[in-house]
Amino acid sequence: MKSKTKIVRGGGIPVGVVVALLLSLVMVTGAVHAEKSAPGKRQGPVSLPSDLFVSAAPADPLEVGHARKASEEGKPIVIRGRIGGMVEPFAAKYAIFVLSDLQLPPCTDGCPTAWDYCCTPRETIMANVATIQVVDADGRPLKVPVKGVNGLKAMSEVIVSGTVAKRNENFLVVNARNIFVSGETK
Amino acid sequence: MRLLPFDYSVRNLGRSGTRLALTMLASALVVSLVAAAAAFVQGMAKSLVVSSDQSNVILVAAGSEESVERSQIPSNSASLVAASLPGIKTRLGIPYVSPEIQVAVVMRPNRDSPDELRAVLRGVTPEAFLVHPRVQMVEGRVPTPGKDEIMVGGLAAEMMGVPDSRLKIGSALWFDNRSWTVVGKFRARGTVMDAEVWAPLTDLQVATRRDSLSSVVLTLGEADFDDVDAFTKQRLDLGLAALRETDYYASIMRFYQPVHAMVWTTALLIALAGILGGLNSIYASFAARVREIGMLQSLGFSRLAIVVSLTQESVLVASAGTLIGSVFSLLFINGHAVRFSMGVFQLVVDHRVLLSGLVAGLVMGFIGALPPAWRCLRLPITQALKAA
Repeated sequence: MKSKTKIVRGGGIPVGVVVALLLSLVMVTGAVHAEKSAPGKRQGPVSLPSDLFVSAAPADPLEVGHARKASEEGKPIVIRGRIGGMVEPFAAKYAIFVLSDLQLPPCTDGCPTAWDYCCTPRETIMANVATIQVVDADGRPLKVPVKGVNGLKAMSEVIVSGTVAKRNENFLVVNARNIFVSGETK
Repeated sequence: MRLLPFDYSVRNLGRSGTRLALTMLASALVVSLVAAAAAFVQGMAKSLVVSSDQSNVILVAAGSEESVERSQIPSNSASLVAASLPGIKTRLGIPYVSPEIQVAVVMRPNRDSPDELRAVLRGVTPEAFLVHPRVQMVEGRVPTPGKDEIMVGGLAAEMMGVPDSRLKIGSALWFDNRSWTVVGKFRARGTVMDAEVWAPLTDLQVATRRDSLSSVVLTLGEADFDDVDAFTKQRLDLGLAALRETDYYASIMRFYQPVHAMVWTTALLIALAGILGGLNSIYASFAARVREIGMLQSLGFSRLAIVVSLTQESVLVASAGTLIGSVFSLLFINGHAVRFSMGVFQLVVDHRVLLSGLVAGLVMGFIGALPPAWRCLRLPITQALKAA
């Protein structure tokens, strides 16, 4: 008995195979696109915004200690401080650094670094530091180091204008829009 | 240049059996000493390196990076990290995040005993077995929280200075005014954890009257170390510092470098004393053969040929002593446990250590022959032939 199954051929290749290949190609292309758009994944090389560093100091900055108490989540803020508060205040691969209140005294007596303020009680340090980060359009920190850029280093005194990303009685995170480097504490 | 036959050197070794035996013994002792020093350094290095995992990150209190035992971080750090940091390794939905307390304590055999048993206690949750894959249960079971139960590592008895049988399943130790029962034994070969005592985290928090943790150990999956570092800088309220586990143990190795230097210096000084003592012995044996050496020169053998022959004798003796010392090291030094502040490690006599001993022995044999040989050959032939 002859089989009633017919195999439609196009140029010697079964059409079904061609359709399957095309579908696979579409699926793979879609997966690659989805991969690139997934949270945490970025498209192309990342760089800091060109207007991040400004030459004029933003007006009416708050000291870090005061900002910790007075700022509100989601509101604009201008904050002034000194980069420090821990032995390494810069994240190695992200645009994040720690800003400390200018009142915290640098200490070189037995401390690993002057800017970790080891002579000051830990609770006092924790109450007078804030996290400054440069974020992308999705609010995620840019994966590009900011240490050394435009002279930014530990003990640099900066004024940052931006938005309060997170704040409670225990921490403050600011998304920076502009950074003014005013100098360095000696 | 015509050299003296090799069997001449070999037959000369039998001139004085006592001297031969003593020289071999001296060589063996020096080689064993050098091997012991090398095994000490090698054993400590291996225990610290093997203890670390390249995929692990330790979160400790900022400022306590060099000593986990001094670190105190909030008790909710582990759950916050697990919830906030994507890319941590997971298995069946369980993140590889282990909250831990590490504390050095003094335990007692029982309530009334004055004996002090020093131990390193680690308070853990079941996730500890995920982040420390070298830890394997070998007997009994994991302690149940709230029942004053503990499990002990394979070298915990060495750490406490008691026989292994003292820590068998069902035995008890006294700590924090109550008895703790050993319900399990584990091995973590080659790591510092092998000398620890593990207890449920909550039980140890109660016993040490703290609600903080010493550290959180996590294993990276898709995340990398920089992601964890960035997290610590975003959550300054937690006061965390991130360390690669390999870097943490490397810093401990550096801390012990002065100890290593002291061990090596001691070994070298004693080896030098051994060499000088050997020199004295060889001087005496060559001095007794001045006439023979003069005769060899008059027969036409050059000074260099005679030096080569004398050196062969010395190296042969040293080689025999090196062999004895190496076997002694393998049998009696390898695997011997040594206590230090972080726990216990075992002396390791591996190929590197044996090579150090071999080099020390051969150098000793070579150097030991040259000054006496030179002294004997300085004499003119006529004077040498007249010597008594």
